[in-house]
Amino acid sequence: MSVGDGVLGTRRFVESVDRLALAAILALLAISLVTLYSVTHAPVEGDWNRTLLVGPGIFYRQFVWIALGLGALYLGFWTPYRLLEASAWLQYGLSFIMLGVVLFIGRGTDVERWIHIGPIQFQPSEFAKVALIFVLARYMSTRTGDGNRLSSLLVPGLIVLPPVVLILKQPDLGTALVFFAILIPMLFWRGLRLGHILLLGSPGIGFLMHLYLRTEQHMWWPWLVFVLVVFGMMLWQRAYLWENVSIFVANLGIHFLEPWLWSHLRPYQQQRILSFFNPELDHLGQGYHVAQSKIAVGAGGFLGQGFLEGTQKELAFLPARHTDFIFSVIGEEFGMVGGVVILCLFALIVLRGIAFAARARNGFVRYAAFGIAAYLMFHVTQNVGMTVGLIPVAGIPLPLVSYGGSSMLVTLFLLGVLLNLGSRWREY
Amino acid sequence: MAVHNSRDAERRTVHAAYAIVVAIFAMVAMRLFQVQVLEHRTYERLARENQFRIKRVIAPRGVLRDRNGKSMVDNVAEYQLFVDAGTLHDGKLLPSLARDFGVDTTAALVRAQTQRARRRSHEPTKVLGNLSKAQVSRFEENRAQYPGAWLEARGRRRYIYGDFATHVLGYVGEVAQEKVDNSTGPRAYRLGDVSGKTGVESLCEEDLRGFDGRRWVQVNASGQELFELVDRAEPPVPGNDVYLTIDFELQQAIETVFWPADRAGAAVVLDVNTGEVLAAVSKPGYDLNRFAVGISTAEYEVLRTDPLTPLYNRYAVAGYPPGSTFKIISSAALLDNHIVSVNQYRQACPGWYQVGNRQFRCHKEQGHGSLNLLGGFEQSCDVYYYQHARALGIDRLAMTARQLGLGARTGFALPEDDGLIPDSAYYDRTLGPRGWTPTVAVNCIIGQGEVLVTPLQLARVAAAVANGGNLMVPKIVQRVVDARGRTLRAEKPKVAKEGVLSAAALHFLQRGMLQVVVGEHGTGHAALPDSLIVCGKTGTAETPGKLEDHAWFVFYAPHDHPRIAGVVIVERAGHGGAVAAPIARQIVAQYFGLTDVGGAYWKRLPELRRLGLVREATL
Repeated sequence: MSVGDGVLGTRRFVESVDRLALAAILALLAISLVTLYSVTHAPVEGDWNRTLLVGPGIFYRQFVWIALGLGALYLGFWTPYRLLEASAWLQYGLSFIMLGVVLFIGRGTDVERWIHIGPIQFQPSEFAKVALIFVLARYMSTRTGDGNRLSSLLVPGLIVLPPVVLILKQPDLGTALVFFAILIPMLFWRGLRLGHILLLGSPGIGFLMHLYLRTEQHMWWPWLVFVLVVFGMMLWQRAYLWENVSIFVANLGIHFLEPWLWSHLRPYQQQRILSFFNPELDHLGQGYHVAQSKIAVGAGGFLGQGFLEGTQKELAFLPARHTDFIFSVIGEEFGMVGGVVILCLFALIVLRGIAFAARARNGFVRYAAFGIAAYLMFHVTQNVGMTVGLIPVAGIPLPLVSYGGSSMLVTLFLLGVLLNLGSRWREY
Repeated sequence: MAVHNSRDAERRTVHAAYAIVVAIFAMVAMRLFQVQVLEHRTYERLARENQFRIKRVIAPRGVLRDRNGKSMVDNVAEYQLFVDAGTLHDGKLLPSLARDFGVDTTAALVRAQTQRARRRSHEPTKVLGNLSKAQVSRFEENRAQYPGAWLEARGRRRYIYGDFATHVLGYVGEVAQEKVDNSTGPRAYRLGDVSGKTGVESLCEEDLRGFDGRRWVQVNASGQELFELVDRAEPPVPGNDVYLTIDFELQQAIETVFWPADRAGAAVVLDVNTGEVLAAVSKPGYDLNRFAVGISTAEYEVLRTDPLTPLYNRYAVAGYPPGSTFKIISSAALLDNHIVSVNQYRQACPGWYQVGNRQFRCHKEQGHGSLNLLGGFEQSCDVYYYQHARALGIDRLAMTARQLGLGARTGFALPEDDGLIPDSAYYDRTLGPRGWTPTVAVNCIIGQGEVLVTPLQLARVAAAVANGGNLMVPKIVQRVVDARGRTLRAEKPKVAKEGVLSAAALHFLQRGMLQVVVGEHGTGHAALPDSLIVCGKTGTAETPGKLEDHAWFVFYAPHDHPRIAGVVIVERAGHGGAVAAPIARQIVAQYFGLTDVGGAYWKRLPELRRLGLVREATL
């Protein structure tokens, strides 16, 4: 900050920030407040039987979180990216230690995801996501070579693996997937071709097919067909022999690995997966929540029931309708129009992020900005997709909108960094 | 910047990234279109049918137990029929319920109307209680015919011994509309809830009712539960058990064994040291279960017009003329005001007493001869007291009576009456300053005239004589214990007034009440069991009209270290010594575990003489 920046750099912030992206962020925060007001305020006053299960305190506390979050955004904006770059490995190391600590402390209890320091609690996995973006950005900006060689995927893969393993041990499948949702787009940004991503992902797809086939009395032939298709793609792209051989082996290996992995999943995770592929199997648990969420969204129709008019939110079906399932409330009260507006606002931020990444001259900025955009992209589509039954339920909140502190602070900090990377791209 | 990418490749990557982002968001938006526009009707219908209900789980009402933990009132499950108040207007459900189960259509509609007016349509409307097994199975078999109606098993109050301790326990009934309207918060009453109406049921309502729980259930259109969100369930907290000071065995024996058939009356037994009510009987009682099930107007009318007035609480709310039992108070007044001394003899009792042109009769027509105070007390000679009445005066008599807690409430937790102790101010007020003469004292001194006491008040006086002059607050609730067995409150004995009797009066009354039972001319021989000695005072109270007298007996026992005190009154039954005293004897025998044989007095006279208890009190 220099003298001409105004008090605490406000003038410089206002002048240089990307107004479109900032406006989208503020609009989403306003939507968050409106929705939480609706969730927490009963239209039928004093009516015990229909009391909303989420107290009005949540609404007022969200003000505090948003205020703190805007502080984090401002902090992110003024954090020099060189500091983030220089400290990337340190962040990575710290987050790794914290993930270890949380496992160690939490041993014997059910939830091993939070660290408590006095009244403050946070999830080290949130911190680990941030560290991963910066570490990958730093690594990718310092290495050259063909992004399509399997060998150039090796190090990024090794970087992602340790935190993923620790998080899977917690166990938190949804959060572990976020790490891949950051890694793969960044690899793509580095030049990895989509066809190769599909090939690389084929063991994963095969894995999902195995899971799906579990609900279909273990008929294996669709998977065999898929493996043959993969084999055909490899014959067509003969350039990378050893890579193709490895992928093919991995595809076959899945068949033996999947039962072993499955037996290591927690029952609730197995349940979630099965109920996603076949909601009939689990009418009462996760599948039921999704069904109820779809009913709320579907009942909203094109224009919605109107603010405070939603009826499904009053009912008890969604314990997390102020957090993970907040989109179902928005869908019911503001309809498809409201849902699409929110999607557009998020898309706007993501697209601006990609634009920042594309025009940056500095390698780190280029990858970090893209990583942040990918991070936001995944959280939004995963959450909304889950609410409307596109994707299995994973405990991921809707960024900027869901009630909650940890996610709000991290997201706004990252968006602050993103705005910074976009605002002074000529200098970088 | 990655130098390995050519500019073209880089541009392609950027465009692909844009395209992928837009494509994914478009996919999600298309899904929204599918769910919210294409399939909107389906989901709208599902939302309407999404009958998620928060069902109340009514907390089991606390059990009423006697002092030894024996349960006297508990709960049983009964089936009740509910309808959805919102579905009643379709006009088909109620007629079919009325046809098949005898549901009162008008009452149900009024109820639903009331709920609607109070914005409580979402609460279930109870239309029938206490369904028989046949009705339950008929409903379950034809459930589809009654969409919007369902059965629920709810706890119903059970009075295990029916008409036992009617006026102590009290009954529950459907909560009054105004109570529903005036209660708010999570513990608010709903239409159709039960609450205590009388007795301990009403007194301890807050303890007994507990905290209702909630269940989250989804029901289909016919009201059948599809499933429950078990993790959201809030189990109810059962009401606290209330331990009464009542001794079940004693109370029941008095009501069913000792009491003469077809007689109205009351009995109270107190622990002399703590004031605990060991028994509180009001005869006749009535079956409390009739109220718990829901009494019909016709049934209630029968109870209300019964000539023996079972609805009337005789042990604490009824004011009776105390008759000769009032001589306990009169004697204390005479001694304390130095109108008589213990050994002073008066002129002989000829059997009547003349004041002006009015003749007051002694109960013994041939007269008692010349008596001192003890003799007058022992033989209950009215003339002895008449002779001193004017010297004492109505006001000094009233003062002693008030000192002993008469004419005012005792502090008992259940409803009670003041009784009536007249003084000159009272007569001035009712008859006018010139409308009465001091002669009223002549009538009042033997517990007639305007004097009214409740059995409870008199029992407390007996306890004060027994315990050395402490007037206790009669206690009915011993302790309150929560569902986990923890004692929440244990009520300590409370003294209303200490030292209500002078030493002289106390000494005389203890001696006198002994003499009534053991003296050769005593009127209370029938109260003496075959071991242990009872002290007491008989009373035969004249009643207006030509009906028989009320038979009274006031007592405490044993004579040397008293533990219980009490009173028995049998209405219109004759002489206290003949009718009430034997009941008192049985009470004492029951409480102290004696084998009870009547007529023990003459057999025991030598023993009593040997003990030096019998004193010759007449000249």
